[in-house]
Amino acid sequence: MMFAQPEAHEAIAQGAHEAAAEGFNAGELLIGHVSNSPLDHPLIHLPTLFGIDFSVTKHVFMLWLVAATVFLVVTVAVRSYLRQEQMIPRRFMNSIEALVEYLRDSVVQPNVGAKWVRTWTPLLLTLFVFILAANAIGLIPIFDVVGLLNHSVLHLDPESFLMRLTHGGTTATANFNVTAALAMVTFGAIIVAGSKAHGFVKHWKNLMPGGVSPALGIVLIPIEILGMLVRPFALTMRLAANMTGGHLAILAILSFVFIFTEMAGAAVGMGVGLVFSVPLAVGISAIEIIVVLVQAYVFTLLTAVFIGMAIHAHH
Amino acid sequence: MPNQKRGLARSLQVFQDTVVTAGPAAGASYTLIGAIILLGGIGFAVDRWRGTSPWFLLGGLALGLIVGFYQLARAVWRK
Repeated sequence: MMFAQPEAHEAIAQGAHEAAAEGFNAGELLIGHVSNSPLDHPLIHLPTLFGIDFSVTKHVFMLWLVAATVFLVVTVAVRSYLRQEQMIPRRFMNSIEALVEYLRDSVVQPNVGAKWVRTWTPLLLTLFVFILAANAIGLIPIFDVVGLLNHSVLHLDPESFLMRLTHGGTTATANFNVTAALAMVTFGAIIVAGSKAHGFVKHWKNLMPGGVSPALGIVLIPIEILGMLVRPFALTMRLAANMTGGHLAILAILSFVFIFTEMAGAAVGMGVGLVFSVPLAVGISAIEIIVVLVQAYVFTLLTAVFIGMAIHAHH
Repeated sequence: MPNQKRGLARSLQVFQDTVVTAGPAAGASYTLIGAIILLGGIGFAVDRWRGTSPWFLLGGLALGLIVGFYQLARAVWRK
């Protein structure tokens, strides 16, 4: 699984005959491309504390990279804007301002209401920008290029840091653990929003639908609690599954080239690639660019809707 | 909506309004699917663990349907 990726590049670099000789396993290649680096082979080994392995895997590394990138880009832009003499946003700052205003006025305000918009816009903006950056960076094949360079020029040591980076997927938001953590933030925010708007006890009382008989109310309490837990789960699955799905589709279509090469020779493989795989993969990549935006947007919108439901919980 | 907005800007604005209006409905639909998958999955896992197939899976799916449709009904009846 771990070496599936270099094998594929080798096949590209050294001609299709070798790929046929090695045997092409599409399933292994696909899983190797979208999965995290294996736990027995992480980027940086760290000790296990309290039964939790703190080793840095590729998705953890990508999370840090995305967080650092977002932090640096936004901080530098905002700082340089604040240093200006006239408060006129220019160039990049303009787009940041447009994004902030758009999310505040079109997503947060209609859902949480004018009273709470300043409280919840920062959280929702953070979620949006972070998910967008993680999705978008995952779409850029940075480390695949490193792997390709390695086979043609660099010839790195297989145990080196850069070489380990080429194992496993790069989209941190395609990992269910990452999206589960993000959804937990949403889960916490829903409770905090309800507690801030109505008080802690009233927030939990709001879960009980008003105007029903006590017997029915007792039946409805577990259903309400389950519904509360289901919402972050739906957010988790939606984001991770969408991000994994797009990558799998592109890779599956591209792997047709190797499957046909193995079955009917290099010429047929090349033909399938030129006529079918590459154009379709380009098309799906273009759709993926939209998906990257839409998924970040939907996560933010749904979080805003759920927070709004906790705030406006009248029955 | 100001009238001078035309073409792409106007379509985007309309799209935006639609999406924001559809937000609660999208939330309810995701909750419906999520409830069925989550509770059905838990039922499936319990079945695998205790060897009681298929009863917990069926129970989980039924409970997921109830929770999901209850949330959907709440979203619909809010207005």
